[in-house]
This record gives sequence, C-alpha cells and structure tokens, in this order.
Amino acid sequence: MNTCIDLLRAALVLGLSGCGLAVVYGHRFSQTFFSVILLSGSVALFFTALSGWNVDFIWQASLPIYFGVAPLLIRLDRLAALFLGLLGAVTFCAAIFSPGYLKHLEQRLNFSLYWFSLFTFVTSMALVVLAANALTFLVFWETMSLSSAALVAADHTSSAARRSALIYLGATRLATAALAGGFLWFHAHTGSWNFADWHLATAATVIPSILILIGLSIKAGVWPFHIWLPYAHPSAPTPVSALMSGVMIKIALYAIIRLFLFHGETLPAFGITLLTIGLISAFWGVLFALVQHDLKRLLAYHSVENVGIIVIGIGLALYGQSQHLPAVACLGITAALFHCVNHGLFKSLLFFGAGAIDASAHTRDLSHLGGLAKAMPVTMLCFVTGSAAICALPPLNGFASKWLIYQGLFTLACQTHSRLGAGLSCAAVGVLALVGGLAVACFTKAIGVSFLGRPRSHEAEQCSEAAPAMLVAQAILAATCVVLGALAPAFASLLTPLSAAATGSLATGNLITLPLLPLAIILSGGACLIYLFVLGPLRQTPPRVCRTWECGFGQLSPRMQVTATSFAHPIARIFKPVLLYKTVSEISGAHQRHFPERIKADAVMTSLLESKVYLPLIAAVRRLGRQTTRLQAGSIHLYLLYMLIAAVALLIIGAAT
Amino acid sequence: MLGLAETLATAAAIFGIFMSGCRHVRSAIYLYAVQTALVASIAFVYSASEHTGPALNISLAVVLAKAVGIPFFLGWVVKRLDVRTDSGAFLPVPLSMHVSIALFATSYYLASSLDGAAGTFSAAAGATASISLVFTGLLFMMTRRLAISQIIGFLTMENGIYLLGLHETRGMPVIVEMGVLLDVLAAVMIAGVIVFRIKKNFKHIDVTRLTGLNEQ
Amino acid sequence: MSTILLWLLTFSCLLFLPSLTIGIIRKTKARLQNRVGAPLWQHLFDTIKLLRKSETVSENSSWILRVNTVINISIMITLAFLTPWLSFKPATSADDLFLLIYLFAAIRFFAILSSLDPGSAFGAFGASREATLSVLVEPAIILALSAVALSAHTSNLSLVFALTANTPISQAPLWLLAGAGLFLSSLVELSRMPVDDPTTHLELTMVHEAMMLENSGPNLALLEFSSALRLVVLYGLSGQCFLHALHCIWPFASAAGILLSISIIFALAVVTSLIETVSVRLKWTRAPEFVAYGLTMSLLALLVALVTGVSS
Repeated sequence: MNTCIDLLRAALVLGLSGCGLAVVYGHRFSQTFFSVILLSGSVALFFTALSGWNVDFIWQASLPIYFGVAPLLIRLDRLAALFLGLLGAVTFCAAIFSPGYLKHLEQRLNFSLYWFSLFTFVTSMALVVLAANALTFLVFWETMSLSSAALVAADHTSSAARRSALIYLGATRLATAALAGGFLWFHAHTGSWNFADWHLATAATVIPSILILIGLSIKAGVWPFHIWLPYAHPSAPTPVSALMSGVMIKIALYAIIRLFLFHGETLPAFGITLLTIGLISAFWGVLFALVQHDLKRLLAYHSVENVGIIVIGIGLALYGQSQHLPAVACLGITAALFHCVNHGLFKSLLFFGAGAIDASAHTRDLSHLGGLAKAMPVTMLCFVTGSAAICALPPLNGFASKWLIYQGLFTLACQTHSRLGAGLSCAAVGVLALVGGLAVACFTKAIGVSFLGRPRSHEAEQCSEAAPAMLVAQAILAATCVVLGALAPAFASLLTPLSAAATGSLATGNLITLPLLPLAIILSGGACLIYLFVLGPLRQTPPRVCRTWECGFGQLSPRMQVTATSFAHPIARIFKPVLLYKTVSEISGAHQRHFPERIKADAVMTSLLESKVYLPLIAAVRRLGRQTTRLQAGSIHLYLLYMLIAAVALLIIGAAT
Repeated sequence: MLGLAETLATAAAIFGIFMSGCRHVRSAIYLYAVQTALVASIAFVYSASEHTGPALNISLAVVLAKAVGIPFFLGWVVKRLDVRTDSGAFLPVPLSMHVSIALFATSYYLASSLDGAAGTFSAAAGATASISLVFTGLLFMMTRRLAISQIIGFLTMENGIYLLGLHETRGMPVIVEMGVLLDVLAAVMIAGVIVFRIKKNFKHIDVTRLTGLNEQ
Repeated sequence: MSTILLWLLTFSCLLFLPSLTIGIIRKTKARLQNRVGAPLWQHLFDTIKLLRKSETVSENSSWILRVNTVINISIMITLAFLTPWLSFKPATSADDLFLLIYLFAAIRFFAILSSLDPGSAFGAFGASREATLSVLVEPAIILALSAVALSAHTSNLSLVFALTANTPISQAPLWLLAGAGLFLSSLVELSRMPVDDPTTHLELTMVHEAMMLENSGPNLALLEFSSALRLVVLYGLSGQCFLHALHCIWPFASAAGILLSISIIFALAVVTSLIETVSVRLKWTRAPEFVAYGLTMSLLALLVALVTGVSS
C-alpha cells in the first residue's frame, strides 16, 4: 500500500519535473537526459501498477488542489492498475527508443516543446486512468488531448502535420463536448460526480449514455469516428504515435469498460450496437489499411481494426450481462482487456519498426522501400513477430485474445435464446474470419514490400541497421508478445477476478483451455529439428546462389517487382464499392497498338465516409456559419436591437416560469 | 423432426437460393425446374397422406405442366433468343445469393412470429420456405438484367405464393389449383411472346437499358 | 494398447496417404484423358529424389526462405495430429476449431512472405492471388466448421467429430452442407482446378506453383509434402462430414469407420480428378464466384444448425 503510493508519487514528480526541465533546458540538455527521466518515470509507473494490483486505494486532494465543484479524486484499483501497467511498459520502450530516433528529426523539432508536451501527455494519461470522478477525468482528459495535439504538430514545418493536428483537434473538441454533455446530465440526474454512483446504459439514462459513448468512441477511433486516426498517427513522431495508438486510444476504451461494464445490468440494445459497430470498425479498418502505401498510415488504420475487435469484446460482455449469460460476459470482458494489452504491445512494436525504417531510409512510402532484410535483419525479425502477433497467429499473444473473442461469440451462439443474438454472433464469426484473412494479406504486403525483394530506391539501398537502443526497445516488445502468447492461459486467469467483478459471477477458473505453451514448444522444437536434419548445416553440399528466375531475359530491375498497390489490387477490386477504388490508366501513343510510348497506371481510392458524409457535413456547417455572420452587420443600432430583444425575451421567460 | 412436406419445401427454398447464384440462364431454368418439381410434389404428398388435396392425377398434371412444360418452353425461348449468361445488375451475382440466404433467415424470423405457434423450425418450415421463395424471386427480378430472368423470378415468386397457400390450407381445392395453373401458363406464354417482341424491336432484352418510358 | 495402435495407424496414414492421394488424382486424371500416367507412388519417389538433390537459392532471398519451409512443415504435421481428419485419430486436448484455422493462417502468412522474398514478380503475383483467395475462403471454412460445432455445443473438433450413436436423421442435411462447403473451399485453398490449375506452367496464371517457384531441392520436397498433407487433411475433414451424414442414415460400426474414412479421401480425390477433367480453369476475375458457392453451402449449414439448435 505505502510502496504503491510512494511509487506513484515518484512517477508524478518525475513527470512534472520532466515538464519543468523541458521548458527551461529543452534546447540545452541532450535527448538522452530527458529519455532517462521518462524511463525512470515509466519504471515507477509500471511498479505502481504491479504493487497496486492487490490494493484498492483512494486518495482525495485536500483544499489546495480543488476544482471548486468536486475534489480531485484518485482511485487505483485492479482495472486502473492494468492500464497503468500498459502505459508504463509502452512508455518504457518509447523512452529507450527515443534518443536514437529523434536524431534524424533534430532540425525539424522544437525539443523544448516536444519534451514538455510528451511529459504532460504521459502524466495526464496516467491521471486519466486514475481519475475516479467526472471532473478529475475531464480535466486530465483535456490535458491529454491538448498535449497530444501539440505532439502531432511537433514537426510544425510540414504542412501535413499542421493539417493533421487541426483535424485531430477538431475531433477531440467534439469528443470533449459530447463527454461534458453526458457528464453534466449524469450529475444533474444523480447529484454526484463520482463514477461509482453512476449507472450507465439503463432505460432511464439512454441519451447521456449515448453521449458519453460517442465522446469516448471518437477518442478511441471507433467507426465512424475514426477519420482523425489515419491523419494524426502518421504525422506524429514515432514514440508519440506508439503512445497514442498503443495507449491513448486504449484509455478511451478503458473508460468505456469502466463506465459501462461495472454497474450491473444494462440494456441489450447497447451490447448489440457495440457488437455491430465493432464489427464494422474491424472490417473497415483492415480494408483501408490494405490499400495504404504509407507504412504508418497503414498501421493507423490497423488501430481502427483492433479497436473494433476490442469493442466487439465489450459489446459481447454488455450483451452477455443483459441476457444473464455470465460465461459470455466473462469471455467478452477478458478478451477486451487482454486485447487492449496485446494491441498496446504489438502496435507500438510495429510503430517502432516503421520509425526505425523512417529514420534509416528517410521514407515510409512502401513504393520506395524494399530489400531491407539484408540491411536491417533485427528490425525485420521484430517487425515480423509483431505482424504475426497482430494477425493473431498462434502461439503469439494476439491469437490468445482473438481466440477469447471467438469463444465468446461461439458460446453466445450456443447459449442464447434470442435469434438476433445467435444470428449476429455467427455473422460476427464469419466477419472476424474475413478480417483475419485481410490482416494477413495486409501485413504480408507491408513486410514483403518493405523488407523483402530488392531495394526500389537509392535510399533503401543505403539503409543501415537502427541504433542498438532502438533495437532493444523493439526486442523487448517482441519478446513480450511471444511470452504473453505462450503464457496466455496464466495471464487470462490473472484477469479473471476483474471479469468476475464486472459480471458479478464467481470466477470461472481458467478461460483459455488451450495448451499454448506446449504447442509453442512443439512447433519451435519441430522446426529446429527439421532445419537441422533436413535443410541445414548437416548437408554436404551447400546451396548454390543464383539469380531470381527471370525467364532467361537477363537481369531483373528492381522496378520489375510487385508494388504495394498491385499486391493489394485483387482484393481492392473485390471490395470496390466500399473503397470507391478504381484504376486510372493513361496511355500516350495508344494508336501504335503494341508499342505505346508511355503508360501510366494509378489506383485511386477515396474514403467513402470522408467524401460522402464528413465533407458535406463540414460544408453545411460552413454555410450555416456564413449565414450567421450576417447578424454581425456592423451597425450599432442593430446590436442595440439584439440587446433589446434578448432582454425582452429573458423577461418573458422569467415571468412565465 | 421435419415432415416430408416440410423437408421438400425447405429443399425447394434452398434450390431457389442456388438459382439466385446462377449466371447461366439455362442452369437457372434447370434449378427452377427442380424447385418447381419439389413444390408441386408437396401437393402430391398432401393428397397421398392426408387426402385433403386434389386427386393424384391432377397433381401429376401440375407437376408436368409447371416443372416440365414451362422450363421446356423457357429453354426454347432462350435458345431462340440466343442468350447465355445474365451478368446481373446492381449486385454481383454471388452476393445476391448470400443476400437471399439472409432473406431466408429473415423469413424464418417472420414465419415463426407469423405462426405464433412456436420457436421450433418444424412448425415454421413450410411458411419459411414459401416466404423465402417469394423474397428470392423478387431479389432475382431486381438484380437481373435480362427480361427472361424477370420471368424466372416471377415464376419463383409464384411458386412461393402457391406453396404458402398449400401449406396453410393443407391442399387447395381443385378449382383454385387449376385456375392458378392456367393463369401461370397464360402469363408465361404472354411474357415469352413479349420478350420476342422486345428482342425484335430493341435488338436486346436488357431491362436496365429499357428506361426510355419514364415521363420527363 | 489400442491407443498406441491407433496412433501408429494415424502416423502411417500421415506418412503415406498424402503421396498416395496425389497419385490417385493424377492416375485417374490420366486414365480419364486416355493416358497411362505416372506410377501411383510417383509423388513419393519425387519427394525422395528432391530430398537428395542439392539446391539453388536466389541471391535476393533472406532467412524467410528457410523459416517458411520449417514452419510450414512443422505446423502442418502438428495440424495433422490435431485435426480429426480420420475418424480413428485419438483425441488431443488442443484440437480447437479456431486454433486450427489460425494455424492454417500461419502457414499461409509465411508462404506468402517467402514467395515475396526473392523479388520475383511471378511469385509475388501468386502470393497476391493466394492472399485474395484466402480472404474469401477463410470465412467459408470457419463457418462450415462452426456450423457443425454449434450443433455439438463445443468448439473442440474431436468431440464434434466423434461418431455418436443415435444421431437423429435430421442432422444429415447439416453435415452434408458443411461437407460440401468444406470440399468446395478446400478446392480453392489447395489451388485445385476451377480456380488454379496445378499442372499449368504458365507463370502468369499460377497461384500455388508460382509461390514455390524459387524453392528447390529438399526445400521444395518439404513444401510439396506439406501441401500434399494439407490436401489429405482438408479432404479428410470434409470427408468426415460426409461420413457423419452417412452415419445419421446408416449407423456403421467403428471398425468400418477406419476403412470408410480412408476410402472417402480416395473418393474425393477421384471426384477432384473428374472435376479437373470436365471443367476448365476459371478466369481470375470469376474465381470469387466459385468461392461464393462454398460460402453459400457453409452459410446454409450454419442456418440449419442455428434453426435446429434454437429448437432443441
């Protein structure tokens, strides 16, 4: 208990002192100095979570830090500890990764601003997780949003980054507005700011619950509110994208879990809605990820997919609770929590990989990469591990959580008496399988085009392996993915008390019945044996090295390889109506039928939501704005008239009530 | 446990679904024939088992006329018009098959609430199959390009309605059955003739291109 | 004692059945086309010959080449022990439906990577096609298997596929439809005829062969064996579905099950060679339509399972 408080205090002090130092000495001190502060802060945070696993402590601020309406209230329970631990782990790796990575951005970043925002960002994320009442939550939520927006715009010389930051800011404004509305309504309804007193998603609280849900889903990047994600994540420096994608959007999901799942029975409609939206998010995210050729943008769209999978878990848990199926609820909530942790780990790993490529090749565009396997073997190994984990290949950690989702859906189909529930869960199994196939296609594309084959550009040819510290950060995460996968049953049983608390049922024991560790040992052992005895060093004749088969036409040029676009083309063609995908080709000299001079082919893809929903919406708001500006005509008499009208109206309203 | 009539009805609905996934007009006609034979044989089952339906020879006539005569006629029309495949409009053909499966599920939902009887499938199987056939026919007409496919879709819908009537009444009176049969025969003949005329005047039977009749 | 015997039997099936089944497909096809054809065990002879040959490796390839082969074969052998593709295979605790599907996905993941590895456009286009087909096929396979799993209320496939006495006859359509869905999907998954021609050597159209283009020697032997093993496992799985449909109508003894489950694989092999004799390879853009039929069968099976499951 005491160690836990001390550790938390140490973490906060480190965070705040980091902020202060960054403002004063941001330009003078080296990146390593700040990284070490961040590192020690994250270690403190991680151990806070570890020591706080078995304690439930509440701390209320005495007078000096006081919001006037409600006190600063902090609570560290098991759920908060889980997410705090994730934050600590990812920040730890980001701190190791940072110094090496930031080197290539030295000319473009204002480091004083960067480190100040980063420390604020991490500290406020920790405090959002710990917040136990609505006001504390909202204050740190805002700090988190603003500091992350500043980080997105950190590379302020590029106009793309500025635009992304604006889009992101717009999204966070809407999220906060919706959240504040919901919170105020709840306060009016219950007279309390404490989350523990609120009861969301019941028949009496539909509208505010929807408002809160919308606010949190915007931040989490759930479809159809995901459009800021593919802008913000690629623009931010890599440690920040890793933190944003790995932790920040999880914190929004954490808030959904905390507010919706731990208060007993809810309306089944909420479960069904979340399940459906989660399915759409998963499908939409992976489909758009497939057609991207910016590596970080691809990863950002994958976040949408994984958030969708987590939301499916949450939806399952809600629906299971409302239908009195504790087994389903338990599976759903464990899957959601487990996948939160998993996605935090492998997504930051993948972002680090993309960052390492970016730092070394100075481009993230897949059409300029290729052949990095020779130059960056360790980065590739880590990237392949992360990709295998995100594709849910057994026995890595992504598989364990996805398996729990599948089991939850399957159990729901077996146990429910509602036809809608059974049909939806079966459809969900099919859609998840489709999503799994698309994810495999997407990541094989990403790895194949960037690491394999031959370099497509001069930059890719000149690449060298990333700095050792960057590799260490990736290796830690990759190893965690493997270990968490093999030890998934143990980890899932750690989460069981949480799901038992949410479902109100007794702990159902071990959820993952698969022997994943023996399976991992058998697979890797078998692979080693086969390598040693059939293929490997024991053979007398070493393999002959030759050129790739080129039909006898002579040396292939690097441009004669498949590109990211052409690899994804057959799938994009099938899902043409969703992607609004079309190929445009331009042939000059087409009249010389077999000998045209120049052929240019390009694939064009527009986002359906952006072009058909959001742009018209923004245009409508603008039109409305223009209409409203007419009120401000510049005439003082008109303004006096407004005042008169307002005064009269107020008086009438006052008299009427 | 399904009765024989319900099994046949479900099989007919499933063949209807397969039909909606056919690109070849001729295979669609064959599948329509199978489906109609199944539907018509249900009348056979009723008359044999419950003695409520029409006499055996009349059922036989229905089978002959609808499951053999009409497909034969349609096959002849297709041969004369020289059309082979219908690539489908609005919705890719395989997808329309999956949509009709979803409609099958919907019709199960509708049928079980319609009967009120129970959540068991056996009670609702007949109604499910017939509603599903109506939906499938409608979807077939909606998503196809050629006029000949419209006829097949229409006939499938007719099968569904006939099946529903049969299922609800456990066999209809002879006069109703004969009336329906004659109507269908006449409709098919007229539609066939009209398709010939369309082909002659427009040189194609693509319905999506026959939009000149709107009032502008 | 009998368990050891069954394991031995399973093991020998695992060793010899793949080559024999491939041999049967090729032989029947040859006879149907009025050719004599290669000997029945040619596939095995080829494998042994390739194992003793030295190999050539592209200068562009990385460690993925080796990793693919060893992972492919080790996962495939594990899968053969986990999947209930023979009715007499002793049960293990890990034969979970979703685990199997994702183990297959793992094989595919590395296969696609290895064909992108040498930087050859042939391999890469094969990989792209393979990825496309698997996106379409995976839902069909998982839905077909979950349909039968749903009727048994467990996702442990050994329990699902255990032949239980007194299965009602109304279960027969479910098993038939699931078996048909699995068979059609496995034709696609295995790059058989209507989608890909296993005998073609026109690189522009190949899927499976193009992906293995850069492998040679023992590497190629292992991959060929693994893909043959995948063929019998998938055929065995759909064959087991058909056997269950048969069992609903005519409950046979478990001793007959041993013979039947092997012979049904041969029967499906003969069906495959028939299909490959009468049909032609579909145009690539039409391939999804064929896959759609597999998905339809699976969806119908699922519908039957749901509808009968709710009533019980």
